[in-house]
Amino acid sequence: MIRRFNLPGLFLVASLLITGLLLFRNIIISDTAVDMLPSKAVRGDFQLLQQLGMVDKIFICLNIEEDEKLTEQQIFLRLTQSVHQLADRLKASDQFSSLLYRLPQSNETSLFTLFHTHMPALLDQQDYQSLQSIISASGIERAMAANFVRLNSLAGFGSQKQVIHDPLHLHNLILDKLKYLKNSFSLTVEDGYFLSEDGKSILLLGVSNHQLIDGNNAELIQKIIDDGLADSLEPGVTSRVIGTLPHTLANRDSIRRDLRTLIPIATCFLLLLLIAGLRSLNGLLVCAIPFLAAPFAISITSLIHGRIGGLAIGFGIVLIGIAVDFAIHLYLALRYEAGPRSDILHRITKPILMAVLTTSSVFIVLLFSQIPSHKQMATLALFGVVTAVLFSYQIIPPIVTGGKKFSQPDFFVKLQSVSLQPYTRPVLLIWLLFVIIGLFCWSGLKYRGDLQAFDIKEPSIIEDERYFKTTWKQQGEQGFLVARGKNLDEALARNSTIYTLLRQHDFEFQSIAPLLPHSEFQSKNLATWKSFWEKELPSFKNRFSEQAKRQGFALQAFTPFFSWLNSKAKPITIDSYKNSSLQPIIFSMIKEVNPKDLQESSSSFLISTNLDTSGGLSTPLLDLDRLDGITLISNSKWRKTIERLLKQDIIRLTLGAGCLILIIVVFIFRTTRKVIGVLAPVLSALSSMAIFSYIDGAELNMMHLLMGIMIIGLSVDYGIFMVCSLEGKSSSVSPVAVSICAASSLIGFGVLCFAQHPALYSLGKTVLMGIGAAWPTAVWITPCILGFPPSARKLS
Amino acid sequence: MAGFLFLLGNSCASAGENGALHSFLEKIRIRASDIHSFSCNFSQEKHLSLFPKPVLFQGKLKLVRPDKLRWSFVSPVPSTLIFNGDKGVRCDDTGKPVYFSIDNDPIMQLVAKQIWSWLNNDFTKLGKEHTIKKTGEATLLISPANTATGQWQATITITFDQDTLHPKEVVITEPEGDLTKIIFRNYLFNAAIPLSTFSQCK
Repeated sequence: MIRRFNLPGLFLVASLLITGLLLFRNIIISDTAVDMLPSKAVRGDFQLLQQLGMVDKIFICLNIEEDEKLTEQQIFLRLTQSVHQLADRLKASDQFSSLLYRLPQSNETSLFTLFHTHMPALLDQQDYQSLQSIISASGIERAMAANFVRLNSLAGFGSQKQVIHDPLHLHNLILDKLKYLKNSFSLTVEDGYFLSEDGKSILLLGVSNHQLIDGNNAELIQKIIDDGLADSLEPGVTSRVIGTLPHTLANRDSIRRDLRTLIPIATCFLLLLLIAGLRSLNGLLVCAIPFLAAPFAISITSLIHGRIGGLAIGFGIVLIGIAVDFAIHLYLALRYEAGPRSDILHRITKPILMAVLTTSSVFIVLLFSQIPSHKQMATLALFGVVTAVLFSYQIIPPIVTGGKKFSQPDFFVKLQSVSLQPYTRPVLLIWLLFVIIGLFCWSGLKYRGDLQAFDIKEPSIIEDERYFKTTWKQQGEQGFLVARGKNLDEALARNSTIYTLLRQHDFEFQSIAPLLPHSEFQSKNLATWKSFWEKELPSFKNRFSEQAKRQGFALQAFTPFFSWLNSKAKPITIDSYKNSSLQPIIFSMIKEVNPKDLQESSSSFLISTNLDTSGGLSTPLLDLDRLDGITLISNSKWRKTIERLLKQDIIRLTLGAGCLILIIVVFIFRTTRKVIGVLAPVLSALSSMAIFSYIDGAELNMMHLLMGIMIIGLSVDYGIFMVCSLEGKSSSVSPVAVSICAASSLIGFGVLCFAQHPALYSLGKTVLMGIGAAWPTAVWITPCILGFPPSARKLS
Repeated sequence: MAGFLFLLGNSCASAGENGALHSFLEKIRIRASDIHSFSCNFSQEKHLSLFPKPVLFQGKLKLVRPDKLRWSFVSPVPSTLIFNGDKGVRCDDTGKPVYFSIDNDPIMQLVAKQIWSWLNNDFTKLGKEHTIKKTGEATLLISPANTATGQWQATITITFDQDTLHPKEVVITEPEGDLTKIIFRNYLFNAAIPLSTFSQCK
């Protein structure tokens, strides 16, 4: 048998295969969602979100069951014990970069000391209006009455010093600024814990060390959480996990479930088809040969792009599957075609080369996609198809029959004898109408860039999210304004710009700016404080003495307060908040990003301001987005941008692929009839996709783009093989080969129409619509266009 | 009991005084063990450096051993403090509750520690940070054990009613000289007190 092989060719195959396998061991598979996003700007936004820990955030909500008859205190105890135990378990796993379930137990006194010390640096111009009211006679009277009650209570033992140092509760001016640390949730902080308003739910917020859009990471984290919950929950306490995690797992599980059911069904049907169609076990081997090219193609792609994503590998291999069609054509021609082997090879090679050329041109066009993952797929498919054809030519001819010829089975002849040519005019008219309707539908299609379209709608997740939103009153859609700076002060300055503008326009937002202004702002505040008291102190002293005496206080006790008013104040820094109860919140909104993550020479600081953007993006937000070092990230902005870019991509790439194929086909086939005959399956496929998408919600998504490219590649190949066959210049069994290829694609992808997962369903539906139209067009309409009799009839 | 004796051994000032103190502490402890609950009225007199004149408050106290207490001021300004296990509630004159955990509120932790010692007749909780002396027929003096804690911790003198062996007067003297005197009267022992008293403001 080995003598039948071309040894240099076999050596080449072995070399490429071994090289591919060796390189394959070292490839880096990076499963990052960034690769699926178009444009540098959108990817940059996503990376910012990741760096801020927003993508890998997990909310664990513990709830007391409704039927538990417990007192408020018992509920509080059970919830806090559960959340404590759970947090300890999660902490022990070392898989979380942060876990927040309780504000640190620094007492009110330490927060008082912090704000008292740095108050002059934090009070801004607007605070001085309140300050004027506080130091008025009535303001002093109110404050001193409150002091009287407090000092005489049991808690009064610890508050004398506070009253002596701040009898007018000036630190409340700073405590008011804490409202800017409040997030979009409606919660009460009780004993440092985050409780729902009804006191029946408690919240734990974690950020995973790993990317949770990766199924394996999600599985690991979910297991840690499940184990933790199993050991931590007190009786009557239940849990809900909200965030990226349940979505990743639900999608992965759904895909696994679908594939577990559908792959065996598809495999059975494919085997039956191939055995019936190819009539030999060798035929099955033939179908496997192109996939030997996969390791080499994957490795080369990884080398070119520096990495490769799991999605690109999956789809890339599917695209290499196009080469199976070429192998089938080659195999059937060699098995059934009459004549010398070299002649058959020569005749079948011409349409195969043309098909490789058109398919490759489609992939070359896909290289210009704005989506990195698509570029990776295109590279993989390009190298894969070319290598697979090379492998097929080296391996298939020697193993097909060993030179023995077979007569065509009856059903081959029957299939080829079916002709619509007697009805050429009405058939072409109907087809033309179909294409026109398709064109009309194309214009009515919308482009949906929202990746959530591919998210499985798991009822339990929907219910958990609904419960979460109801319990924590989470409203709207969260957006972020991210301030970036080469150093912390630069980032803080930009963050202050955001704060000032949002405050001017009465936005509701979460920001650290009022508690941590940049140095220049603080210097200004300190100067204002100094000049204010220089002017006000003498008259204030008189008013204070009068009111203090009236409430029964001894004036000399307040000497520390007046000394403080006269002292030189200090600016506040981020370190001032270390070990305070505000540390987790403030530090969670500031991130130092190291150069490795930024692919830049130096580190930088990011500070986020969180706000509700469900009302749309108003002018102030867009104005801020235009400023240097400030980025607005919101779902609505993303959706619009991605939709615009995806639309651009679909139009650009489809037109590009269409034009390139047209040029190639015109250059090769030259006459109008032949060109239309070759392109008819493509037109039918695109029309069918447009019509069915129009009926099914009039939306095009990313899957349509990807599979559309593949369908264009396959359809044009059908046209080429049919036209060449009808011209009598290649194999007479091409209609059968085209039918087997199309049927295998329809079985392989068509079963996905029964998938539960939206992405798989969309994929299956697209192929079914496209190939389902391209195949009959190639086999029956193309002959009508060319006006030639079917080749089988000619043979018979 | 062994723990109690161990702590006592550490906290009592000298071996000579040990016998009288031990016997008194044992006496009041045994008496307290017979009382499951009690209520009483009290008056509080504050002598603070912030006030040139003493300030007088009146109030009511309800207690269920071992860990439920309701301390209410009635006049001149009403307010309530509740301890229930390791949790607590503060209520102002509007009756709005503010829940807290005693373990995590240093001020309330200190208050609870002291109050439970006086009212439960159990001074083991004061531990090594304090020394206890018997200074009269039925009077205990609790002082900070060392000068470091003495800079901010108060000295407490508790005088017990010789019949009921429950506190009659507590005097708290703070390091800067401020003084609080609380006088308890009208004790009603082992009366039924609803548990809701220790969870609701009203």
